[in-house]
Amino acid sequence: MSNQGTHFASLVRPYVLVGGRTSSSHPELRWETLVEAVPERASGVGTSEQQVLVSLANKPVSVAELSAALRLPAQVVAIIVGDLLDAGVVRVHVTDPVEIELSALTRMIARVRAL
Amino acid sequence: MSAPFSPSQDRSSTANASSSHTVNTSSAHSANVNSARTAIGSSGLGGGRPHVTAVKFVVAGGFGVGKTTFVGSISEVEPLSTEAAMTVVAGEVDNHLAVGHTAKTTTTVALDFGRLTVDEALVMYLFGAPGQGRFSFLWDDLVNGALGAVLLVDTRRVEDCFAAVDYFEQKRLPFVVGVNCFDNAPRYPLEEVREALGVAKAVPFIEMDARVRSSCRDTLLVLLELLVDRLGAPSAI
Repeated sequence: MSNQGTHFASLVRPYVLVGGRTSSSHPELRWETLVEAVPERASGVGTSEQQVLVSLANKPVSVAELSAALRLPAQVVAIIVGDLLDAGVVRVHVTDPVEIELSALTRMIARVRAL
Repeated sequence: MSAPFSPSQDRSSTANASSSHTVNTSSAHSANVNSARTAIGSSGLGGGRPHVTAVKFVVAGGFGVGKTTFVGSISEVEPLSTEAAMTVVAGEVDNHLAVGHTAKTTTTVALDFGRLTVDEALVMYLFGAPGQGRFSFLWDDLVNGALGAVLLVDTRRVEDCFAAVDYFEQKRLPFVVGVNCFDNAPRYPLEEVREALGVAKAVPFIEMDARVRSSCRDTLLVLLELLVDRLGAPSAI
């Protein structure tokens, strides 16, 4: 995945990419939130970092992983994802931690035990 | 997409930034069960494909205590690095004198994290987090949405964990303490470490070695089992 990442941060000051904004208008976008491109809308993106982000999100990928691949701070990635969400280009898998049930914990325990 | 890359360039930056430090202690979606179950786009697109749940865990501790090693032991990929931006107001006390100046600087801190895919519908993320109080600006973002934390303690520098303990208790984030056994560090009975940290008896303490994968695995299992117990008594702390 990281091969696809390019280094926008070294090219442009990160916050210039997002017009000087420092927080996303989507508080549900956390570092672990999974982002997935909406294939039929993926052609509607403008800037090059948006294009790379959408191509990385061809399967669910977290804001943090996008941050690592794009070499941009997670907060900046959250702002870009928020813009793409508003444009309908991506969707997000929102997880409310209070909704995590015993079955999910049981599956996690089994997976970790198998390490 | 032919972005030139200059690896030597300093990526810490300044910005005319207003404060981004918001406190998000609970999800905006907690009242709506359906929204937690369905992948959503603000335009209503994206139905049909299965929801994937991502859960987050925090591995906290001072420098050199083994956070990245721990994350790497659990992760199915080499630990990745993300960075968090920190907006600080320079000379906050005197700031009203600096009318017309944006006396704010943005610096970044690198954080290592890993991923463990449980199945096609569930993914775990582990984030390494510096435990010292001067990094507390990160913790709101890190802890928001986290299921629990592993706090790694070096018995030679217990004080590196005081702020993290206070923070986790304040946020009621379930956590376990892993006392990392360094070769040349004095060994103390776990109860003495617990007293030094001032942590309640309900918090599990484990002697562990972050260099050993099975030891990290067992420490994470203690946290997961604590979460199972908490499901039965969600208000217990």
